[in-house]
Amino acid sequence: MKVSTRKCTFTFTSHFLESPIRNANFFCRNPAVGFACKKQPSESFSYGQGLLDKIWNSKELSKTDYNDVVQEGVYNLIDGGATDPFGIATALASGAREVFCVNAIDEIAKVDVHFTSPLNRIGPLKPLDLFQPLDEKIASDRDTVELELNSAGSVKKVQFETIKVKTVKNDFFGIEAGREVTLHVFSALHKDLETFDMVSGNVESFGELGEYIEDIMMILSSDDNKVTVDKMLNALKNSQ
Amino acid sequence: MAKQCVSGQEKGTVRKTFYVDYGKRFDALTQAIMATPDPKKSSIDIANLEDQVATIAGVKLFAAYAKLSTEDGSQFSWYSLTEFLLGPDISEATLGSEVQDWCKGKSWNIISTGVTPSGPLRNYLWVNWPDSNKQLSYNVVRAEWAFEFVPLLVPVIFSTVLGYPAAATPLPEINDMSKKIQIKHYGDVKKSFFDPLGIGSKVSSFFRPPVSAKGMQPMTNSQNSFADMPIVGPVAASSAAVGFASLLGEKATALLCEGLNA
Repeated sequence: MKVSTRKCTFTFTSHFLESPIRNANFFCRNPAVGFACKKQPSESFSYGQGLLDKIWNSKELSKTDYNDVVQEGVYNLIDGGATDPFGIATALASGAREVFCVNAIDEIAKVDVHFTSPLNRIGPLKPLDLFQPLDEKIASDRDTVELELNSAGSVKKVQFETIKVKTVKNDFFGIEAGREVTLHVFSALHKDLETFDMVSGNVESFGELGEYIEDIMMILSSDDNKVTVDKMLNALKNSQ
Repeated sequence: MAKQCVSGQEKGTVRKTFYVDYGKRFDALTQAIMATPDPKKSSIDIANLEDQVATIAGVKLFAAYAKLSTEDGSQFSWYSLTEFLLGPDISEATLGSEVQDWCKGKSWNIISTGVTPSGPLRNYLWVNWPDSNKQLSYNVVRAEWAFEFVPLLVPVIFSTVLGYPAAATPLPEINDMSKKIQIKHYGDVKKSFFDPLGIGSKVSSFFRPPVSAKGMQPMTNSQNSFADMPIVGPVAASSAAVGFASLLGEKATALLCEGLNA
């Protein structure tokens, strides 16, 4: 795909990269958030971002500003990045032994990404490494139920899964190794909408999301799924 | 909605309720904002935004908010946009501000991501356009194990107990990994007499010695709580999804300087 501006043209092959570049160009400046890690908490954001605003406005980097950036440890914070898809890590960091998560869309970051693999042991996904690998024994402990969709037209699969897992040491979130955790995952996957559509509001009408919610509610309230829904509610009620 | 659904009302009721109560009003607000005369049209061309930026609804909405958030002449950034969206009553609150009874005692955790490139990679905080020799960037190294891999993105957690500013934070304020990371800033603050065009600086940019090495740990003082931090900061940081464009190299960052109407 091609991204054009008045003075520059860059070619990228990924839609994933294209939109941020376009959006960033619209910002006319760096869209990340400045953070001054050496400042008092009350000032760390306003000072860090303010200092970067000042530099962008002046179009020059003065020695004073540079020294301030270095002295106050200014760096960038951006989104939850690779660390916020499910919040499971924060739940574990707070001591949870049972976690219930809702996995609405799963084409890029399923719960499976939290299980140790050669890729996330060494790569940029390392902070997501929370559980021991899914071996045969653990896989057999997976209790997976697909709910009846009945007449629902907007969803392709609704599933509830319970997995017995053990944590691995994770320095990023302060999680110790070997804790036994019960992980419940409820997934309701839309037929057409994917992650990018959801987060960018790329829908024909907000009514589409209403239909999606309605279908999920219909499925959950169906007598065909009562046993599974009771199991879900018990998990929520009794979670530790 | 759940009650309506469970009570067996006709299919369509929930969808209609959701749309009328939320979606339709949101659509109307968006349309109203976009129809507002643009006082800063010279700097942000909303009328042609669809052609120049993208055609998705989210970007149009974003552009509309951007227009409003800069009407007072303030500098536009993700931080300023978030501040605008939160409104003065929320954006002036801190993580330890007085809270309503129903949520007192609950822990509130926001996760953002520190951008931590290492090796030859840099994150660009600022780059001049068109002279990209003028720039400010940084990367990181691990203090204890210099050759161990540092992930490109490191989680940073802000957490507090709502309603109890003096309480200990429920989650670690900074992770163990970040305590071992040092930031190295690189900046060009003056031109060389021997190389006024900065050609040598550009060619040898990967080999510049670090100017400084500071720990990434935010708490260098005894105040061990984020309760004094204005809410707008962590909320902006936790939602700045476009921010990783600053990792795509100095050309990408320089592009940001140019803007649509430069």
